[in-house]
Amino acid sequence: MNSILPALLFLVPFVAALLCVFVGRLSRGLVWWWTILTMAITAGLAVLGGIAVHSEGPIRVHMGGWAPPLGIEWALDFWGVLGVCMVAVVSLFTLAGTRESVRLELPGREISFYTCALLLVSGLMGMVLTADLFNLFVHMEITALSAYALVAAGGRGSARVAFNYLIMGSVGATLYLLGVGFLYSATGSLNMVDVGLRLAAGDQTLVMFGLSLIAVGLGVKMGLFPLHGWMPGAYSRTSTSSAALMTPIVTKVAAFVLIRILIHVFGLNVLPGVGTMLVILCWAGAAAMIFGGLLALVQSDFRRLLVYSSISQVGLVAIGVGLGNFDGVAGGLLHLVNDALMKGVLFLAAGLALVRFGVARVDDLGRLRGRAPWTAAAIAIAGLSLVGVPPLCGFFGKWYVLAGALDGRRWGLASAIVAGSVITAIYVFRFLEQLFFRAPSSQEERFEGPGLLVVACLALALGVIFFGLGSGHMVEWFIAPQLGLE
Amino acid sequence: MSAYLTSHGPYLSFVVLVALGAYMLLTHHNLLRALVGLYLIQSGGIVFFILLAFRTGGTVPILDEHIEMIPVNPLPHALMLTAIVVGVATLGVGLALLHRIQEESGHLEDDRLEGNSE
Repeated sequence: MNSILPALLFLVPFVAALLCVFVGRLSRGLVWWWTILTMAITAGLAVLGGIAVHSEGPIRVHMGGWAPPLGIEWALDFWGVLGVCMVAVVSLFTLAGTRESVRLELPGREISFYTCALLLVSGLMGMVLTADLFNLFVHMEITALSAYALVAAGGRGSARVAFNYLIMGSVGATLYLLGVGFLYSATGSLNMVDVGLRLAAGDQTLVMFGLSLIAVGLGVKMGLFPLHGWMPGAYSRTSTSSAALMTPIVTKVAAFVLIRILIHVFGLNVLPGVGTMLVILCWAGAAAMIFGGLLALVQSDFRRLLVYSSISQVGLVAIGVGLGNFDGVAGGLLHLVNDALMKGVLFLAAGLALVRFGVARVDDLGRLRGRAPWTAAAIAIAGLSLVGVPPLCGFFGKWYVLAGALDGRRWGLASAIVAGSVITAIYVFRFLEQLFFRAPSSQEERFEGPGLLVVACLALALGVIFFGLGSGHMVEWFIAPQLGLE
Repeated sequence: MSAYLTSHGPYLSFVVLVALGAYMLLTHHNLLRALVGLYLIQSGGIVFFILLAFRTGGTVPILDEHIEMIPVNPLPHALMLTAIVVGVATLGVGLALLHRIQEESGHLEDDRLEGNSE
């Protein structure tokens, strides 16, 4: 079974999405159970894959029996394990938590919501697993089309932001596709490893132009400053259920893919122009950290604050990759998973605040005080992790990237990381203060719940703690081997 | 000049399509125009790939050992079949969204100037 595991990781959610409509016909209440069952199987497969890869090395599948470079190859490699586990586990819990909120926010539309959600997950799996540049484009679009539909699943105004997202996302995808075209014309191959081998023989101008187009296209998808324009609207206007599912993982997987292409295909500092490209990436990341953080600081809407925080954290990932040394790249990969866990907690909590207590503004978070103790605890754990308090996972990502910056003697970037972290601390304490130290503004009789949402929130918060404690092993088991190989 | 045009001329059609699309995206006042602009850019990408496949004197890539011929590269064609499907799907989702925007607000004018876009 191990040999077809990469294909199964995609097929399970994909086939389940197609069957979801029929399950919904039987009984609408069954759809959620169907989704959770599927996601539990997918997460189980992802963990099994992780164990197999750890003991036996990467698993490669050749579609239709055609060997690469001619055929399409899918590979569950060391980094891939991090990627698929992140997607499967985080979306399992966020989807588990959406049962009540979907019922309240999208009455009668449960079937469409969960169908799109499963399609989204399968597309993300494909993006992580494929080793073929064009196949990646197809999965990016499967993901994106489901994402547009999920963003549009909200109240008034959500269609408008979804349309904006569609335009920007599709332009990004087309730029990526053109980049692949340039690379193809320079190397005659689409397999990532094979393209990497043939780069040196190709026309360098074409290669660099293709690389730039790919980086800009993926930059749009990952919400890298200044290409983040679609993000705040799309993720704060949509339903809280869609936001909780998408914000943690969609931009992270795009960033993951960018890391894989830059480091696997191009290698670091192999081509003359790549160095410049990495410097630009670093400074875009630094700008994202600082401006994203500053914009988060001035938001009054809790979800918008969290979206800007995501933009800022993706900036840290970009700095890590741009540094291009071991610590930087390891920190970048680690921080992707960290931020997926932290944003999973925070967006579920924000959804609970809005759906259960009607609280959308940061200044009203005091109304949860004393009424939602478990949610408040989860928010506190995720918030402290975002600041970078040591045993929690957020610390390790930042630490590695900072170590990478110091190691490379990039003082400017190091100070940008420190400044970004200070800004992060300020906006996190802004909402923690409201949650814990302000007097509740009204005497309501509502209490915490729905239970599932709280449990999902706490489970991800535990993930924040355990992933932090296991960071060293993650780097040793799943990040280092692949950096050694290139 | 004419030698340049015959070798690079077809690529100009790609440049023109993308430039037109980008112009429409940047200057539109109506959301439907934005969608048309996007579609032009996507078509530009498709034309680009098709041009990559071309060889001088090339013909349909169906191999027959009795006939001596130079086939054009079939791979970009296969890729573009997929890309066209993706493009049409995007267009469909875009039109569905426009339909809902029209129902909600009664018009398709871009309301960015009113500060509502976010």
